Amino acid sequence: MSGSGTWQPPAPGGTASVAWAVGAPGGAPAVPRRTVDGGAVLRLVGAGLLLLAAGLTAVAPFTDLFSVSYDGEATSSATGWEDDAAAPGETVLFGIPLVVAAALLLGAAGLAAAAHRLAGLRRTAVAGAVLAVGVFAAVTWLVIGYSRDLVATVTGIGDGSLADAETGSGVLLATLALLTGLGGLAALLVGAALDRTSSAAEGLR
Amino acid sequence: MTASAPATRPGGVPVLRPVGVRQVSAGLATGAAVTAVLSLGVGLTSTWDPTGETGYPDVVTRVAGGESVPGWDDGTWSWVSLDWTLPGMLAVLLLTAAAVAALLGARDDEPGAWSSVAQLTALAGAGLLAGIAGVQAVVGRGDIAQAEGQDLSAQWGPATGLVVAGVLLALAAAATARRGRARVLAVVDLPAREQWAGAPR
Repeated sequence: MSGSGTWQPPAPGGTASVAWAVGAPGGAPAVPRRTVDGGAVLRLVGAGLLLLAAGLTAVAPFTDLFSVSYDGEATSSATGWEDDAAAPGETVLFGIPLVVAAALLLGAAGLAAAAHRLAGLRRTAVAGAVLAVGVFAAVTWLVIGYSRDLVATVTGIGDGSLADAETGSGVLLATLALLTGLGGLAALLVGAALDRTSSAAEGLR
Repeated sequence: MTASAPATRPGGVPVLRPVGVRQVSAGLATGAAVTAVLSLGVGLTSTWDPTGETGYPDVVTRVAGGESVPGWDDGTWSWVSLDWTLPGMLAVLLLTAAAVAALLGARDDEPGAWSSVAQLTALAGAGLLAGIAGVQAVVGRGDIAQAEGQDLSAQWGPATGLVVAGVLLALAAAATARRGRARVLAVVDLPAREQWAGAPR
């Protein structure tokens, strides 16, 4: 009574060995397989990257966006909040849009993290992330462009003989934040696509 | 094939009227794209010397590609430029894609993949335009303050207003991209498969 691949009830009073048939009703319980929910993992990765981008964006305006040195001696620099005469004209407060963008990214990261527990928030989280990263990308793009143009303008005066200029760590932080934020948004979008695929597959079962 | 009363039933193919709200969404996205394009052709701020005694150009206008200084060559003028052409063009492309996707999504009964694409691209376009408006605001404020400090005159141009209008239109497009349900105009009964199977060839 063994090795047949089928199960038969034991004879009364006798002993029996059991060979479980694959998929037989009442057969051996299937060993639960742990499957990785790719959508959930990517949501958490996306939330983490957006959080990191928010931090970098918030710090960027407090560091030097660009600095100018005159005749290789006096050096002045400008942050997103103040300018000790590095740039011609008035201080441009890039800190305001950068901090607003960081706050939006923080909110998007919070929504993405909350969507890990609350499935009803998933669509809102992706929509919020798209909006926040859109604002943030435009702000960092323009701030980086403005800073680079300032450096080119200053070094172009007198072919660089009067003053020399270079972008500061704020531009580097903003660039890193831009890459990180775009990566976070990509993770969230791919995670949402995986969610839809798995939902469709479950619907077919 | 016969057309019958507009009620869905198994085997029948419903003929749907496109969802009006999502067509409105397409129109709003188109409006946002048009305003974004217009914002690329007008000035952010204009600065000039009212006395004409400082040697300052007649007028310096910040435009999307940098600045416009009539009568001055590039080599004789230095100015820190704000160039919002590329993010502006990207926003226009996204909003155009949102309009097309909203039109395609209007043909579905339930909001589907096209409606989602329309909503997300409209939001991305709105975000880009909002970011542009934020940076324009601080740069324009700097221009006005600088002019006051140098006895020059300066005034805001229409660029930021157009960009803000584009943001509002794009947000409205995103809000309406997944709304509404299609109205069933008719249900077309297709012949049963068995009839075809027995038909002479």
